[in-house]
Amino acid sequence: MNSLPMHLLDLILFRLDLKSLVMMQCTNRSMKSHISDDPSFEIGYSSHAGRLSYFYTCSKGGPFVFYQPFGSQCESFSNVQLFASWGPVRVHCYILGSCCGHLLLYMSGLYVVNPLTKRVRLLDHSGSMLLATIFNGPNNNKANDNAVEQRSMCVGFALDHSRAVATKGFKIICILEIHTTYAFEISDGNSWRFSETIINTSDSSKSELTKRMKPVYLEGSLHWLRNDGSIIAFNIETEQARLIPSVFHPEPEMKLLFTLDDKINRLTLISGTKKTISVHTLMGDTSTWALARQIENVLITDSEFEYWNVVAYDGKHMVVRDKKMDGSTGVAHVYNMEDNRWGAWWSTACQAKYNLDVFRFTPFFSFFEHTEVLVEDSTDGRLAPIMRLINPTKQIDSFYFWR
Amino acid sequence: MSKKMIVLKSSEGVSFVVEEAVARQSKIISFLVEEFPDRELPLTNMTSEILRKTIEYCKKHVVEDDGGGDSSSSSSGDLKEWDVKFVAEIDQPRLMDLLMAANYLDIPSLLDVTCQKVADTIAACNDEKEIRATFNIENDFTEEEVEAIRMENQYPI
Repeated sequence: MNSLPMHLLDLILFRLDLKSLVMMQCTNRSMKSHISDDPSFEIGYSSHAGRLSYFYTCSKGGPFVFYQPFGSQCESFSNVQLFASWGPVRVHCYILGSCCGHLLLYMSGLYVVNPLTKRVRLLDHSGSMLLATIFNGPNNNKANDNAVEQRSMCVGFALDHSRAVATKGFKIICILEIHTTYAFEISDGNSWRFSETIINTSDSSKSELTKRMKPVYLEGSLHWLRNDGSIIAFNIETEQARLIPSVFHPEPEMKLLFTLDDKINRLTLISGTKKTISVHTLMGDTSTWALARQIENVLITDSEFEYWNVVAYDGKHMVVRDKKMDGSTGVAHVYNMEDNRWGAWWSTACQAKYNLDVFRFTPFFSFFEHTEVLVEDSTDGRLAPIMRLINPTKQIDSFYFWR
Repeated sequence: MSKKMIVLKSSEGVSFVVEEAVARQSKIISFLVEEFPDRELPLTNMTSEILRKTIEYCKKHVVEDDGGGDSSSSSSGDLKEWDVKFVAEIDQPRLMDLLMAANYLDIPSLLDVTCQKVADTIAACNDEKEIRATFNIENDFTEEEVEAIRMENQYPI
């Protein structure tokens, strides 16, 4: 096995579950350092097919966080893991970002957590101007809920590549839009500051950031979509920003999703109507959205549905969520892009009137600096139920939903 | 019309006569056939045994062009079953050789089934000792170091 070229070894390791990966690390030194010290291994492992899983919660925040692990090859519909915060005080939880096996959560405090290793870090966000405007009121304030939903898309969470390999660092980047000017607030977890870069887009186009559309990470940069199809890109390492002048004019009723095609590593814009769902990829050289695929939307028929949208896409699978008039909760359907067919589906277990924030998430045992193993009875103890979501051996709350 | 045949030569110098359509499942051979028509193709890093296995796989997976409609010689379910049996019959060192051959000749589907078989073999092991024994991996850890890695990665998986 040691004589295998690295790329062939990876082809094998990417297929292993975490338990087998830990066993492999114990076999010898070179295997250990390849698996645990090389960030490119983790990235490859995470993006490998059949390991697609999601964390999601209501965009408005809520006492629920859901974890949807996928069965291998996404064929089996596996259990939705559900965390609920009942009790005298219902704590609202917001997911702000996902990267490298970690989630950025807001739950009466800003946390970076790895639900697999149960490591957590409470961040001091008192120095942040932008986060203060997002989470400034009591949780039960309706107007504030809306503000959070509208603005939480400004937060980006990504691996900081410029750091040493042994302890991984992250950056939180918040975009601030003032008319046609964009500024960026940055944190490495310790302090908050504004970047020197400010970009002014008034010469080229007047548009706003698309509301409720999360930034997409690709090749060291976070990308925010604007309503006219153009993109604001911010490089995590150099902290330089630029406008990508791509153009896309959505029709009024169109459902949009700004995402990444892992297979070809390109920014992707999905636009759906009741008839068709179209996949557009961004051509880097010309900065144009090119139509890549068109799928007949067989799910949504006339007035039978109260609500639907496209919630996730990775190049191999597309997840469409809908709610029938007579159903109580929404259902998510998975379209297999390679086999060209609708396959697995699961109940989203969430009332359809709420928007969902869906985050791709791959459990992995890496950890960011200054994170510590959660002590369950500490003040951070309310995170414990979320930490328990990834635990196939003991299911807290799971159910199947039959139509 | 008679089928076009080509000749592949193993590292021991043994020649294998194969239908061109069969051999063309390898992207490398496909390329070589166009560049050097009517020539014997020497595969100096493949033993006869591995080359024979590779050809056996390609013969099973060749898609016939002459028939209309369902052109595949077997249904996909049957093929999958056949693949499982095919890799199950190969011992560990030869499986690695076959995996390397699939990579070298650029036969994606064979690479896929061999990698999956190796991954399944690892997953079936109970501990790192069994993995080392199965794949002949030399241990350069002390017992304490292995214990430390285990402690570090103690989560409910």
